[in-house]
This record gives sequence, structure tokens and C-alpha cells, in this order.
Amino acid sequence: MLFNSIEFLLFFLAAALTYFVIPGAARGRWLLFLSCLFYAFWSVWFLIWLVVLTGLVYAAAGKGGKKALMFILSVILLNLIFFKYAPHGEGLWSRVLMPLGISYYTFKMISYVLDVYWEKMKAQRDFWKLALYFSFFPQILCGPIQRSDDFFAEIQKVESQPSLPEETVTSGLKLMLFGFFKKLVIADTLAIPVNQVFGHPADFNAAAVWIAVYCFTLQLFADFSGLTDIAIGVARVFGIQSPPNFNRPFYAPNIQEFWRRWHMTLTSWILDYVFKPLQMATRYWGRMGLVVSLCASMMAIGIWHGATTNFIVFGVIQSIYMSVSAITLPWRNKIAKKSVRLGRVRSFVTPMITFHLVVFSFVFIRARSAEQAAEIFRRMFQGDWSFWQLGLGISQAHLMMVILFIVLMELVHWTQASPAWRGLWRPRVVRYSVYYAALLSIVCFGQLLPKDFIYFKF
Amino acid sequence: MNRHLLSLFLVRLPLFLLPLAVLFLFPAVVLYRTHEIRPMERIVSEYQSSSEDVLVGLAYRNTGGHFKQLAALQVRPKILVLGNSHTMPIRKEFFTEPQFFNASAGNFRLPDAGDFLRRIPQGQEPEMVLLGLDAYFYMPRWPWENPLARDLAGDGTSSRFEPVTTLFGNWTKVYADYFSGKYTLKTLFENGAEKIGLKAVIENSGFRKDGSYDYGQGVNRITAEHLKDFESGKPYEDKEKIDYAYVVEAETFKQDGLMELEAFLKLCREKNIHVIGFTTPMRHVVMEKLDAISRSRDYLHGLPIALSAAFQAQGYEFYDFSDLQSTGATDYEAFNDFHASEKAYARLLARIAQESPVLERVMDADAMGIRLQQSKGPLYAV
Repeated sequence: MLFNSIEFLLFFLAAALTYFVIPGAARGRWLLFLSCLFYAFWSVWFLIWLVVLTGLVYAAAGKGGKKALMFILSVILLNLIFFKYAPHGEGLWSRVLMPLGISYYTFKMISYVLDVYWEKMKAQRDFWKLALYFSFFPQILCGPIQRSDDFFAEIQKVESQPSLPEETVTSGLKLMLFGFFKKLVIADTLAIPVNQVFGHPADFNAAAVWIAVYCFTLQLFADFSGLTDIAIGVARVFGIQSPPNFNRPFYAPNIQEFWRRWHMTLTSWILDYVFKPLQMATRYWGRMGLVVSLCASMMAIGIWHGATTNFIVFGVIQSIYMSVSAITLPWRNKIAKKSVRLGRVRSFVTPMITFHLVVFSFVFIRARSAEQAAEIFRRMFQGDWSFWQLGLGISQAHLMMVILFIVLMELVHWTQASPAWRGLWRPRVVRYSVYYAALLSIVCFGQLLPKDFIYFKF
Repeated sequence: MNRHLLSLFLVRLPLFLLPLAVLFLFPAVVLYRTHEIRPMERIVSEYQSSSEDVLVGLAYRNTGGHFKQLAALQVRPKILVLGNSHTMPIRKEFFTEPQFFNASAGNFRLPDAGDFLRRIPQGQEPEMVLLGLDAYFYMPRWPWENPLARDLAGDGTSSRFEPVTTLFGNWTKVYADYFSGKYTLKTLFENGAEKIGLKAVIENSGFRKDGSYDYGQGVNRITAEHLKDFESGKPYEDKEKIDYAYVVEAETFKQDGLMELEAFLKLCREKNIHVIGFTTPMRHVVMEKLDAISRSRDYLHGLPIALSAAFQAQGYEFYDFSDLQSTGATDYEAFNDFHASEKAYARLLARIAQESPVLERVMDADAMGIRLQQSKGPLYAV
């Protein structure tokens, strides 16, 4: 069940109510039961398979040295490759579906196994806690990818608390509301012109294609950050704090900073388990070593999304961005320091440049293939620029309204991040007005028929 | 036990949401009174089981593939019509075979035809399919997205929360329609069981029990607008109209479209279903205009040859009625440039019956001739 479905809302309500009545010491096990129920709703067979994989990880982690490590990593990766990347040909195999959350639980399994091997933490003795970590239902669909030691500490905390703090639960509900607003009002509305144009680019003029390209980046952000807010919010209702996944990425002054603010848990995972080991292995290669490590990391991010040509090209583009930026950053910083005015202009211009570079690369995420992405770019520079007959599937007034909602969304992000602005939320009348406005926006303007989250597919 | 949290969820949150819930009360009443909020299975069950002629004209839900599929499964017709809105006027009164159903749906695409038949259990398939083929099914950029697949929720049943999503998805439109005067509460509360859906209640428009479409009072509005355009020579100059725009852009046949048709005909052969295909008529003035554009002319005149070959390969029949005039009808016997009227389709089928012994067996040509003579006005034959 998707987060934006009535089934999920009913499940969440029942789960929360039962969770609040059970004794503290049983909360972890109850969460495991709920997570298994959630997963079984999708597929009982894949739930059994997840249990089997969990058993293998439990048995192998921290035991038997390097051979056991290689064995369990191979099993985890082969599982991912088989279900996500291998072509399934015809007949029975063509109907093999992808297990729910495979990309996310795979990353959790790998990070757990490696952390235990590298002795960053001890192997988890309680099987059920490990099972809960991999299957935790708020995070299984699309992350965030929480680290195991952090998660086990949270479980310990909720089990030891006699009662859950109301502030944590209400903050979770507020975050869920914000997430639904982003998803239903912004992301799903922007999806209309994006789907039209990316579905049949040849039918649209240059103006329409440019609009759709920018709309996609905003749609992706609203969709994924909305999803993450809901996931973090749901977990918070159960007393579990999850790591953030976004931190105003479009204000990043360079591409490295962008990736530190976009899908932060994926980036930090890649940093710890791909980039740093590679950097270590290539530490005597100088700049070449840095470039190799960066390229491998960005290619891993590209291929994590999918193994089709468009994602590979996305990985290549990001590799180039990161390598060029990393190599030239010291020199750019040196130039900027020479003049205060130049520094000020730079702080204004660089986020815009970074944003446009990101928009360009994200075309490859949305396109079905590299060829289709190329066609999109061709259409951007062919055809007329008439804004009167765009045929985007929504009116210009509706599009303007969505832009207003995006501005409001950013205002909320800004006030959340800035201590000086947090005081704005203190008066109850302000808070309640915003909650009602968000709810009204959802019921008036939201696309209320369930649509998949974009990152659900990964 | 976290009493404060239970109180939050069971008392404070519902109280907080109460003002919003009140907003939904009026739309919920409207949708309930007009039966719009019922699960599709129940609508179809009432639609088919009633002895009276029930009209289904839903204003806030799609009565497309899902509705027609469920109804066809109940009727188990021997004659089945497949096509889009262009073929919706074909009625059971045109035939002597009572087990008839018109499964045409507004968003029909050619892939839907095969999916529709595959969802009929073995042994319950029709004996004959009348397949309406639009000229633009075979154009290179025709969107092949399959609406029937989208209509049906996996196993062919409606979502159990369909009434809730109907309410949430349409409540603003219910208010907007009420305040724009499209209906009154008196109309709603006077509504009987023979009309399902707000369109049926207000305009008497909707699907009849045999699956054909009655435009009801809406036809006066539709035809008045289009007649004005037609008489002033406007339609074929108006490139905004989707149907016309697609045909004008046609250059070559899309092989996917022809292959899709061949696959469907092969499926019918396997199921022992006879297929009579025909191109759906457009007004003669439109054909004249398209004939003047060489690429459109080549496309529209070459297409029937290609389609005919596909039908003949399976031993089936195909008739080209792209030009409304070829049915024996005038350009007035149409709802608009691309939607021929019920009367025009009666003429079309009568012409096919003259050449097709298969269709002739299930039609009474003499009765049809009398019906056409006695019918009043250019639109209706019954």
C-alpha cells in the first residue's frame, strides 16, 4: 500500500492506536509485527524471502571472517542484481516482480554487515531487532537509509520509555501533513505537464518542453522530500527518530554541496561504503585517485536508480560534474577571496548555476532512455516559443498556483532551518491556520487518486 | 498505556478535522442521492437487473472500460460492439438478436479490444463483434496508453474505497456545479431509481441498458453549437479540435496499429468470433477538406486498403464508411464532424447487411427501412 492511499491511513491509525496501549518493553516486537503485516500486504512470498535473507545476514555477520563477509555480500548483491537488474526474458521469468523496498533493505544489510566486520559495532544478538531494522515499514518504501547502530539505539529508547512524549508524536503528524501537501498538491500536479511532454515530446513546442524539464526537477523534489517527510513523520509517531534526507538542496553553491543536501542518507552511504574505501585504496594516485573515487561513487548512484542507458548517462554526467568541481574548487575559492564583491556575486550566482546543472542532468532520470533524453534536448532548441497553446494538460493559472505553493513550501523549509524564524511558529493561531490551510489545499487542489511515488520504483 | 496519545488520536484529532468533514457533507449527500458514490459492481447490477430502462450517466466518474466490461459480463451478448464514442449510438433495436451489447467507451483504444475479449470467460464470448475503427488509430503519434487497463484495479474489481476516492476527488466539482445552477436539490430528491448518476438526473443522458448512449437534453446543446459551426464552415478550419488535428497530421500508417489489429483478429479467430469492421464516418465536408490535402488524402484512402487486407486474411469483413455520405446519410445526420448520429449508423448497418449474409441474418432490413422512414429528425432512428 502506498503512503497516499486510504488503506495506508487506516493501517497507520490502527497501528498507532495499538502501539499506544501496549507496554513499552513490547513496542519493538509490535513494530516488527506491524512491519511484517505491511510487507505481507504487498507479498507474503517476498516477506518470507526477506526473512530468509535476514536469517542469512544474522548468521553470517561478524562470524567466520572475510570468507563469511564475501559470502553474505555476494548473496545480498546477487539478490539485488537478480530482481532489479537482470533481464527476465520471456515466459515465467518475465513475470518476476521486484520485492518491495529491495534497494533500501539491500543498503541497510550491506551497511550492517560491513559495520560489524569493521568493528564499528557489535553484531546484533536479537534476531527480531535485526529483522525490524531491515523491514521497518515507514522506511522500507523509500528510505531514509538509517544506520543500524542509530536505529537500535532508537528501539532501545522507545522500549525503555514508559510513555512516548506527545511533542514527538505531534511533530510526526505535522511532518506527515507537510509531506502529503508536497506530494498531493505540488508533485502530483506538476506530474501532469511532465507526463504529457515526456510521453510525447515531438507533440510540444520548445516553450512547453523547457517548462516540463524544470517542472520535473521540482516534481522530483516535492515527491521525494514529501515521501521522506511522511516516512520520518510516521516513524516519529512511533517514537523513532530518523535521519533527514533533504536540506534545501537547491541553494547549494556547488555540486558537492548539492549531494550533501539531496538524498542525504544515500550520499552518506555511498561516501562511507564506496568513496572512502576507494579513496583509501587509491590514496597514492593523487588527483587521479580522487577522480576515480568520485566517478565510481556517482556511477554507483546512477546505477542504483536503474541499469538503463539514461541512468548510466546520468551517472557519467554527475561524475564529470563532481570531478571538475572537486578539482577546480580550491582555485575558485582563491579567486573569490580576492574581492568581497566577487564573493557576494558568487554566493548569489553559484546556486543558480548548480540548480541548472542539476535540472539538465535530471532529464536523464525522467527519460525512458538516453535516446529519449536526447530527443527532449533537441525539442528544447527546436520549434517555436509560443506560450499561448502549450497543451500541457493544466491551465497556466493552475501552474501559477502550484508555483505559489512551491514558494510557500520553501518558506516552511526556510523557517524550519533557521533558528531566527522558528519563533514564527510559536503562536497557536499561526500554527493552526497553517495546518488548516495545508489540509484545505490538499482537499481542494490535491490529486487525491493514488499515484506512485517516483522513488518507490527504485 | 499512553492515555494522552490515545486522547490525541481519538478525541483531539477528530475534533480538529471536524470543520473539514462538514465541508464534505453536502457533496456526500448529492453523490449518495444520485448513486454516483456506489461501487461500480452495484451500479452495473442495478443497471442490468432492472426491468425498466435504467440510464447510467455518471458525472463524476468514468463510465468507460470498467463499467462496460462488468455490464458485458452480465449480459453475455451474442452481438458485441467495440469502439469509442463514435460507435456509441448503435442500439439493440437495429437487430433481431436480443442478446446485444454496445461496449463502446469514450476512451477506447485498439489494445482495449483484445483485453476486453480476454476478460470474458471461455464459453461466454460473443458470436459476432462489430468493430468501429477510427482513421487515426494507425497514425504514428497516436497515444497507445491503455485506458481499460487503467480502469480496472488488478483483478477487475473496484477498489473498496472507490466511494471515498470519488467523494474526495470530486467534492469541489459538486459545489461548483450546484452554485453554477446545473442542478437543484429538488431535482435530486425527486430522482427515482431509473436514473443513475447526475448527468442522467439532470440531462437524461447516459448509457441505456443495451450500452448505447442517449445524449438526452444535452444533444440540443451539442448539436446547436456544432451545427452553427458546420453551417458557417468553421469546423474544418478549427485546428484546435483534437480529432481533426490528429487526422491532418497523419502521413504514414503506424505499424504498431496494424499489428495490434491483426493480433485482435487472430484472437477472434481462435475464439470463433466473427468480426465485421468498419471505419467510423466523418462528415462529407470534412472528407472533402482532407481530400484537398495530399498527405491526408493518401492516408485516408490508403488506410481502408490496408485494413481490408488484414480482415480478409482472417476471412472477416471490412467496410469503409469514412465518408458519412457513403452510408446514405446527409451531413446533418451527425452530432458533430466526427460523431455520426444513431440514424446514420442505422443506415450504415443496413448497407452492410445488404452485402453481409452474416449481418443480414440478425437484422430485419424491411423493419429497419420502415424505422428510418418514420423517424423524426436527423439524429434518432428509434
